[in-house]
Amino acid sequence: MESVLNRREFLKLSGLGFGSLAADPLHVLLPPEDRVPPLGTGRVTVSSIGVYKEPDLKSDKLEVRSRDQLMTLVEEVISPYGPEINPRWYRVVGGYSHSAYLQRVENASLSTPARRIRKSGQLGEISVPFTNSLRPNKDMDQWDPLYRLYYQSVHWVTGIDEGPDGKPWYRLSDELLKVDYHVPATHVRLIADEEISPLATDVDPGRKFVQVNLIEQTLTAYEDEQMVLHTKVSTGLPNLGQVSGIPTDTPRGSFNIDPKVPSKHMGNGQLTADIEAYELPGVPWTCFFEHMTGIAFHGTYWHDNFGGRMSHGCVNMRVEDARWLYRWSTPVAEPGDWTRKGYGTRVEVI
Amino acid sequence: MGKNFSRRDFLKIGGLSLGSLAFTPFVPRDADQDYGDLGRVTINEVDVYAEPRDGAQIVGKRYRDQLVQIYYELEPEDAPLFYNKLWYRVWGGYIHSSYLQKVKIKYNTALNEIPESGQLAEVTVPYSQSYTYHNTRGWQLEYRLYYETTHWITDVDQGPDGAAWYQVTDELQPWSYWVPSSHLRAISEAELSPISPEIPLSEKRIEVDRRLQNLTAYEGDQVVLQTRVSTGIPSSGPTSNGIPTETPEGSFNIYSKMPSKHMGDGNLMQGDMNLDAYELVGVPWTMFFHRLDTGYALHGTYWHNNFGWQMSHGCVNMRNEDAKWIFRWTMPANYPAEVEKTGFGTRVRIT
Repeated sequence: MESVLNRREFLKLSGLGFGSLAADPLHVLLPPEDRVPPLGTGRVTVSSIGVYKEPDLKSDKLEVRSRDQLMTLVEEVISPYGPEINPRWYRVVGGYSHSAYLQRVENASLSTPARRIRKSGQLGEISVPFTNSLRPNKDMDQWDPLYRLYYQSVHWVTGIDEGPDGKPWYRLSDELLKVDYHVPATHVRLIADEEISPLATDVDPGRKFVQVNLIEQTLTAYEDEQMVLHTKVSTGLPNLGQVSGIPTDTPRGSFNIDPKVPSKHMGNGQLTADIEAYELPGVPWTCFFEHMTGIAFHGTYWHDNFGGRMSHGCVNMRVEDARWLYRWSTPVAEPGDWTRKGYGTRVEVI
Repeated sequence: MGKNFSRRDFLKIGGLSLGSLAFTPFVPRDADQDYGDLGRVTINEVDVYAEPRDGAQIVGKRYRDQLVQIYYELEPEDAPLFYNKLWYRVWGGYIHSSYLQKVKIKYNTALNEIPESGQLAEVTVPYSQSYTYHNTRGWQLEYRLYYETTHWITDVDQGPDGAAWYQVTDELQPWSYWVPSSHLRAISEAELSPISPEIPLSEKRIEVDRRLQNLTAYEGDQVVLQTRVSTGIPSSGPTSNGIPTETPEGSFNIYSKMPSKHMGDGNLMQGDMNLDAYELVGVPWTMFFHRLDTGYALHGTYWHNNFGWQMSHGCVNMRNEDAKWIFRWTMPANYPAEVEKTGFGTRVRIT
């Protein structure tokens, strides 16, 4: 299995996509007993995480991995050393890393660029672990770096332009800042209309109901008394808002979904290429339900610690769960909707 | 969801009572499983410490109404003298005992019929979310009811999940709310039979020592119960309602006994959403002993576990099982249980 890659071969390999690139060369570094097909790849979603000797935060920290490094995940381990709320760890090269800040990117791949983009825009999902967006400067003679966009974030593709490498790049339109930026077209998978078609449209909207349990950190969706989704979420961590003054507890009460936004730019709203800035462009499948402080359900690509309180007030969901809720709940959003307003599904937070 | 109730509908599906989990705001845990000791967090958040002392490193937090498994209890030998020494060993560290209510999880079978005068019941799960029903708005969130609180059931009918729910009529506020029947256990008449009713009124007395924070019950010279309590924290200035929060000194007589009392500051509408509101629904085994206009009482306590230390707004907080025992032992006898029983009762001396 040991082989030396020359540059030419390496380039060939990289064309196969990030998945194979990440997995194979690292695989030969593993001790023989671990030379099993790896579980997948994880992206570090915070400044740094530790690689520990044991699946135990109190054990020796052998190494650190920094933001956006890709780690081969050998296997999943439920650790008796916790943490209590999420005892899920990964066996990685050289030790163990906790799962909270590793985004699984096992289906990452390069996409085939489209020839045409619908005039009103088309939703696209980043299909590689991350990609650096660029923006033409004022004189249109140079490309400036802007946000780093992450796997499973969702953006409005509004055009195809020639990028700095002479290849097709997609023009992405930011729904918040009304600016455009570009990423290689191969890094974006366009979302087909049928992937986000409304669900359970034959069920009377009044019979749909979502309950969030803050104590248990769960979300349950009902059609009448029939449970149709039950999953772990992350709600607001109290006292994160001492600086801004906005409480970060998720408020209790009865609400209704309104509006739904498939791609939402959250965070401070600054134009910056600083990957440590609090900028979350392309938060997928956002369903607002409280308007005083802007509380919403949405997909979450920056942590995997569902069941623990994590957010500034919103209800963080796994991306696939958030997309399901976006499709199932009302008001019914059509595939071309940037924002869908309307008095929607009842939400109860207890 | 805007269903009309009808007894007929209910009878059709009544057999389902425990089957449906919808609206039961409690992740279904198997009631037969032994979880050991569980503690419910009774305030916004508590800290988990690396060692059982206040200055130790904080290694985690637990939030209101979360359940914490208690591995064992301990009283560190080097604990400060004027301090509740009881700590709990939990996952990852130690939590001080003051704001963990020990709870159990038990589900109950629904009663088919409710007596005309109502049925006294207690909550047997860590918490239960109640709802009110509005003709126009449907089911709306109401109070969260806690373990060992007591309530008057006045009806049984189909709840929002189609299962059997109890109507609870609040003794204080003019509307009722609904609770899953599996969460409430009817308290039988026999459980509340008077204790030593043959002892004359003049021979029974209760002494509350504010310095020692304990309560002693006497039959003649014989001590029949001694337990730690929490009396009022003295107020530093005038209070919002003008009633001092220090438990008053003096000799009084119990004049009113209520097995379930809605206490709080009267901002009733806040109770449903704001868990920080001073709103205590279903306080069990309440015995008023002072004047009508002050409302000092002995009663059970589900919102702290810090007996032996001043905690209250003036009342004498007791452990629920002690309060229930005293309720049965004191005069006037409230038996069979009524919403309120008044009369000249057992002497209470506060020193």
